[in-house]
Amino acid sequence: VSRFSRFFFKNRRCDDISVSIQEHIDKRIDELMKEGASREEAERTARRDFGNVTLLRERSREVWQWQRLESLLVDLKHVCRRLWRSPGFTITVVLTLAIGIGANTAVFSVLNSVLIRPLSYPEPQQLVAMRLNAPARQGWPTSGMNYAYRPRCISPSPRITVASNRWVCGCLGLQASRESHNRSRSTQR
Amino acid sequence: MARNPEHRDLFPGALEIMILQSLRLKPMHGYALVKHIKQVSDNLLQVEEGSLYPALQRMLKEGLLEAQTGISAKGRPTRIYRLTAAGIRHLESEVVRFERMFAGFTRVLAAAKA
Repeated sequence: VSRFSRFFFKNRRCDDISVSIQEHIDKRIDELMKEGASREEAERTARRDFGNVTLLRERSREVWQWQRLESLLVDLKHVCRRLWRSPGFTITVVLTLAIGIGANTAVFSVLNSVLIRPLSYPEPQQLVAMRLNAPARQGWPTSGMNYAYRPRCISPSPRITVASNRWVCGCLGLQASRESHNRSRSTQR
Repeated sequence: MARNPEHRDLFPGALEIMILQSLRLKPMHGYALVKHIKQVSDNLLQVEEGSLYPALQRMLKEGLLEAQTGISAKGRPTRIYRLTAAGIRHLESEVVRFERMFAGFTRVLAAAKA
């Protein structure tokens, strides 16, 4: 059944319920008037006896509805209306959410690229960080981290062998940067 | 069913079976159903409108009834409820089930008295 015909049938059901309820009240009014009541009195009594027409109509319609989905839609409509009526609150909420989501995305992007995803270099698992292990040179700046590929650290090359006495290899997986500087230092020794 | 809110329904399905049985006699509109049940039960049972119309809609949805549109003698729109073939089958199976239940119920009451 197409959406249109479902909508049409739903409206027809609503009409049916309204007609049935109205018919019920009218019959009761007729009966009371036959018993001698005035029109006004009969209408009042019939409506009082029948109870809450709107509630009953709603309860009858609910049978045809996808209750949870439709109540969710009604809630959503209500929320949208309330938000539309208080723009200050809406803007605050939207900005708070936007900043929160944006900050989370930024932090995750950084963590993802630094900690989770492999580096964009060939064979990143072979990248090592080097640091100075020379007690006599404690005062030397240690912030200058030196990085190289592991094969070079353990290379039989004499220059690098000398370097490995002074520089301890540690896996950090960061960029090899001051390789040329290392080499020049090791050759000075 | 009864006016006392603590006893809205005699037992599950009681209202449905009375509606189906009443409509089996002849198609009726909602108010006629209320009157019929009240009259046949010697005023012992009174169907509340609050229960009747949702029950009618439930049965329409289940295909046990069908509603016919019409115009009353006074020219007002009416909805006449009529039993379908599925409604008759459902009524018959429910009657059997209820009779068994009543038989068991009666025996329990008789045993309690003895």
